[in-house]
Amino acid sequence: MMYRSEFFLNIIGTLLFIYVQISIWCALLPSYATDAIVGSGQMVTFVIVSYLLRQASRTYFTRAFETKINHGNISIDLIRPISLKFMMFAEQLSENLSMILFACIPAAIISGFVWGIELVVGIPNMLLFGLSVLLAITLQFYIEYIAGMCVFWTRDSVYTSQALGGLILIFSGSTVPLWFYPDWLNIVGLFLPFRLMAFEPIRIFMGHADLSGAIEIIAHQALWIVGLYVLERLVWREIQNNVFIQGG
Amino acid sequence: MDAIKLFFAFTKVSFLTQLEYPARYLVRAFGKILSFGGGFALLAIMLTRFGAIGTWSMYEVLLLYSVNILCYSIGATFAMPVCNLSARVRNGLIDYILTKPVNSMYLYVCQQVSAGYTTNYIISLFIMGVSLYNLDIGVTAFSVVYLVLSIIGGSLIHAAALIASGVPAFWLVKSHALSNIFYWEATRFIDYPINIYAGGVQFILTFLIPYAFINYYPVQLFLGRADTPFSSILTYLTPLVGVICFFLAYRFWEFGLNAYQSTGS
Repeated sequence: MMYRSEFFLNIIGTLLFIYVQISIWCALLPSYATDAIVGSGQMVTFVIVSYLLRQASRTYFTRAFETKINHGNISIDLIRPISLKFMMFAEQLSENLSMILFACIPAAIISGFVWGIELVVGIPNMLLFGLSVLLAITLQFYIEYIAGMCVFWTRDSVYTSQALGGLILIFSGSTVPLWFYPDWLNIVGLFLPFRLMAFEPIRIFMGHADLSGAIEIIAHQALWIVGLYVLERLVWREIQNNVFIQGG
Repeated sequence: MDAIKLFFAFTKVSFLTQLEYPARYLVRAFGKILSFGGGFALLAIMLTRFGAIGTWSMYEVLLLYSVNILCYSIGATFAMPVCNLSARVRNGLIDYILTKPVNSMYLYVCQQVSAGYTTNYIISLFIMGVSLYNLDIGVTAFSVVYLVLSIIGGSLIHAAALIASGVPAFWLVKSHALSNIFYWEATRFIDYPINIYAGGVQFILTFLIPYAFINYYPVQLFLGRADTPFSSILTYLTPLVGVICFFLAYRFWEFGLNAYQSTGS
């Protein structure tokens, strides 16, 4: 019974969030007819897909690391025969999956009926979108995992994740799409991985990127993941060699 | 008198503790600046591109937003521990509070008062100053007094809402999703002028969960606007609504405390 009410409340929470976003875009877009990149119908699609993507890629790695470090459990994780990273990724992914299935998808279907969602692309682009979503999740997991490892030095998870959250908020283009950003900010964003975590995959879904464009986005994501993998290995080695572990 | 002394003693400890770890304080400040500054930055990006939200201009919306952040920060300084009550119920802190000869909520708040919001005050006051400067509003003695009273009222509303979302922990109900909707999702609505929402939503935000009184109504008076959906008298009511909300939240706390059974830890 408890869980059933929790289930409905999560759906209501999701709908409220989507409603606020849609209201704000409906208020903004009519005054913006000069170069119409998007209509309000497309903005609704953007809001819903971006919400799903954000829920699918959220993590609690920084907090998990802080608990592990402060309680000393990390020492056990370090000697386990299975990789800590793999374990944390799998755990987070399964948690996100249940949230997506039981709260976000129902809410997305309801909002699709209420406000209308536009499906414009064919099957090949849809498959590429699926692939780029998987890569976007991997990318976000890697970034947050590396930020989580920084807790070994900052000793504070709340604000490490807040700082990262601020960067993601500004540069991922998941709340305000990057079309509306001033040029100089978009140029800064081009050198950062954050846009590949939300804005670019959503562009594939909305049909704003053709096949070759979509493949280019996926290649960019793959490159960043390789780079972050190397960085993660380096930080990890530093931790294994030089970090002092509290007695727990 | 003793009560006030007690408050300052605890607050001093809280701030001094923070200063003991300067590196950690800097990380915190940096995190806060990025996350709250990020919110402002997004709003500024939106407004530079579109010019206005409905009939509200860029600096009017920024003023609205900064008043909300300031009230949140002041309210949360005192009431955030109550919102996180369930952790303290579990570790038995409430039993400790109940055995002392001081008002239970007062002692609890004093003991847990947070020194972590200094960066928030600075950011929101800064944005508020920038907006007021650019809006070129004539400042009178009345408007300053009224602004201060409204901010106190708005902070009380935020505090009351935080208390109300924490108190169910006394029944050991895990009400995470409910408090999430009641506070975190619902206060998102007042990030923007509420006249962009449907009439029913405006009604709820005014008469049922009166978050619109935190910023939407009082700011109107300051801007000399009259966008009030129900009655222009609402622009004057924030301090009163704040006191009423806080009183109700306090009664709810007492009610919860009566039902409380120790976890025995």
